[in-house]
Amino acid sequence: MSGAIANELTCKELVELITDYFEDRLPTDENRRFELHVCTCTGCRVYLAQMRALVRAAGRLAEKDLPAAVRENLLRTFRDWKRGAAEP
Amino acid sequence: MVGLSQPLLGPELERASATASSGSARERLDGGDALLLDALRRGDESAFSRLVDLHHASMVRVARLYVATVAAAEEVAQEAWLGVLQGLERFEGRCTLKAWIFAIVANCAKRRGVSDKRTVPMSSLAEDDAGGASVEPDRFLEDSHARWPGHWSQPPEAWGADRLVSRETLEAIASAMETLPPMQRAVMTMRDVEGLGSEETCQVLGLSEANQRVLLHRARSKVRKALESYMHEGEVSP
Amino acid sequence: MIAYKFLTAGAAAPFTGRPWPLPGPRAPGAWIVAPQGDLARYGVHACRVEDLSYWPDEELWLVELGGTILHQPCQLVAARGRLLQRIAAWNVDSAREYAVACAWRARDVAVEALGRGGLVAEEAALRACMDLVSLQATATTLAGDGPRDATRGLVAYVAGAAMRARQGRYPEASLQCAHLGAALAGGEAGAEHERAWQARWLAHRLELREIAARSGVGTLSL
Repeated sequence: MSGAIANELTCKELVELITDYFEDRLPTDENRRFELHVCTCTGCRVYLAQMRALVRAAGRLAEKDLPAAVRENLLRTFRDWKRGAAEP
Repeated sequence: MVGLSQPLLGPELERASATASSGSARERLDGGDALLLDALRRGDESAFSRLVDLHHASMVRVARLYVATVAAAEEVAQEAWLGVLQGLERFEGRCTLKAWIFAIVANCAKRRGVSDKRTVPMSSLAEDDAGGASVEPDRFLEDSHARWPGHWSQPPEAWGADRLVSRETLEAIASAMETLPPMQRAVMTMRDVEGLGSEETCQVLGLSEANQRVLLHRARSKVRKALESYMHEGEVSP
Repeated sequence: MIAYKFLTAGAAAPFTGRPWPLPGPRAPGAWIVAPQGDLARYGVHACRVEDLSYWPDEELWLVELGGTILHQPCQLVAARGRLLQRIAAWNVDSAREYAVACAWRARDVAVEALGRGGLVAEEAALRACMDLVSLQATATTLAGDGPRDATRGLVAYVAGAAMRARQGRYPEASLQCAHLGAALAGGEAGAEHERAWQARWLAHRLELREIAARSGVGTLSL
């Protein structure tokens, strides 16, 4: 007498589908099953939130520091190129 | 109740493309880049300077995917700028400027790697660690469980928003990414750190869409796992 | 067409976080219009009364749908939608009541099944429970730790529902009931039966049809 419901996703299945879900690549009915499951499963809600948070945080790793010496070098490269005399 | 919501960039209503870099609309040359490009083609030094500000650090990160040291990556990135200048006339604007620049960096890095004989091997999915589950199987109830097969036995715990933005946490994420197999690291760097779209990432790295997605999935799963350990114990375990 | 929609805090869409435009004192919120293309995938989702049990969340709203409307299992999908009014009766307190109602529903369903199965002692023990604490304790004891016995399986759902109800965790309490239904009546059909009970509970407790009728907009969804 199993309480498992045939067309419901399990948590173990969901964590493998999560990237396809974010990429909007799941078939439409699978999307619905995914969202239905998340609605009533705190564990999977948290997992989804963790993944989202991770992706956002990774975006913050993109620092744009540029040391002055590097900038100098690059401007030199530019001026040489502009003069048509760039070093190979 | 844990909220599901995060503010989104795109116009989607109910679809969850929550990552910053989805959507092909952003994968063509945009207005701002087009202006910079024109100015650059006219020899405008301030346009070049602006471009350098925008992209150099990213280029070093991309080069670092291919070469063994940060110093080598810095050299590759500087070389790549010359390639950018020399290739200006050829660029057709069918992808973003950033993707085009990254492709040049990748080429420089590979050439350099060949001559240095020290490239990090970036071959293929097949060489990658053979899958494995995204989450340790013992976190779930067994498939034979009478009532909740495959459900969490040990559900994840919510992370505090304040901890997520801390410098230490970002370093933990960076550390975890360093330990990824090379191609997984490359895909996650391109997509999540540098914000490239999926099509462009495939172009720069020479991957099929499906492969790229599998690599992204594995990378994110591994980093999440490491981050979970860190949040729980204060250490990134490999 | 009138329908209902659960949103997360701040009238935000549960899966994208996009905040819905709020209604003013005398006007509905602005329309959200689905982009062209696959309506089933990108349309505005909403609930008929019977769908509510599948999508619980912090805020419940009365919405108006327009344009093409698809009727799918568990939801409506429309070309456009707008918020009409917040259903204030759905709040932390009524949500807790819902969780508690689900726990007692689980008890009642289990009691009936145990009775039919001739398990008189177990039936009596559960029937005698007068509060959630004793319900959880009794059901836990009866369930024991034996996963193989079908009876114990049933009663474990009651323990599960009671525990969640005490914690105010209504989505999971309702899920325990749905799975209990599935266990008793062979899968999906059993689960749907319980989901239908839950939807009726919500409709009655929150006076949803009355609210929809008073809104004076279009036809009621059923």
